[in-house]
Amino acid sequence: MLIEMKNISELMVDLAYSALIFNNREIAEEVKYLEEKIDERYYQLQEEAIKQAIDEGNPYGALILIRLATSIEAISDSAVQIADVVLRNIEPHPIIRESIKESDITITRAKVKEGSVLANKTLGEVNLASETGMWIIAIKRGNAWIFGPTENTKIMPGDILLAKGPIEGVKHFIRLCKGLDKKI
Amino acid sequence: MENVKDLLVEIKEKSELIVDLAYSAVILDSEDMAKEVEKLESEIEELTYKIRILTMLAANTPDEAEQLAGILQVADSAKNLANAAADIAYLLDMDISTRPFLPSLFMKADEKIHVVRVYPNSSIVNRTLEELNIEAESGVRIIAIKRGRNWIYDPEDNVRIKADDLLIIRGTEDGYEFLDRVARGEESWD
Repeated sequence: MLIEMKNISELMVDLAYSALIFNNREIAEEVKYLEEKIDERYYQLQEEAIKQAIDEGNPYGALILIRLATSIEAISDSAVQIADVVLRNIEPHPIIRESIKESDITITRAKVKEGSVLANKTLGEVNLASETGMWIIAIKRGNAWIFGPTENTKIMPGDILLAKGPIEGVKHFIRLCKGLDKKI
Repeated sequence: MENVKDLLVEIKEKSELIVDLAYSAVILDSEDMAKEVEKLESEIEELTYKIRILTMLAANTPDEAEQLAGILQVADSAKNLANAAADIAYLLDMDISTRPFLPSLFMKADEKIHVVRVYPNSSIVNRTLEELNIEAESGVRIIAIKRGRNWIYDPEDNVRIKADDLLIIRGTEDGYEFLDRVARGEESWD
């Protein structure tokens, strides 16, 4: 459960910065929704840790688990705080977007064209993260969103992929989506 | 405002690094790394302070102030994130007998942090990170390098990999397995 919390909190941070860079309220709302999931797991984990401590007569295991979960919960709170900037009724200051763009790990998006090598394949099949350093954090398909897609998620032509990765990987990623680069 | 942007880039990069280093410190049971986390935490604190001052100087109208408040909020969030991450590393301050299973908590299959040892016959020896373009080629990011008793945290592009380096990496399982084979000299990087 701790690993699951950690993974959700990381997705939240990535989505929060994505919401900022694209000034997108829907992504920001998803961050808030994920925070509820984190809280549920956090309370559940506390309860289980305490039960285990009583059963095994050892408080330290529970203490460590709870402290770790508390940190992860605080990280996810920071993600909500970042996303909250988008939910105000004023456009985020342009330098916020620029600063995310210029970070060595950046966030980008691209539309998958019909002829792209990524089209009609699952994320597991294309192995994008290992081959290009770019992680897909969300997919926009028509009006719907897929947040935190898995290995089994299929990429469809017309999808807009939101990706996080090294600046050096951005060009190749965009060319792959457009179908200009055929080799991943 | 150009200065504020550079500071924001720095605070974002450092807040991401501190999360990786904090988890690594726990997994590797490394007090050296926990010290680096502590150092980063105070650097981030300083950055937030500078951003606050520069941002406040820039406000002329109520509308501007509202936009600028967003900048303060982002900087502050990055700082809070860093503080939360640092607390993970500070678990190492607990008495050793009370935390024997701590590293194993994260050593699960789906964990993304690994250690790779570079052997003298590996094709990546004596090449810079820039030449290798490791992250874009393998999906693996080098968080730190342990060289003898020294550490290089968040290595720059011009850092050259040496034989016997320990690479602390974060990335996909595939990328890790590939880099590990290359580092052992079982496969060529190119």
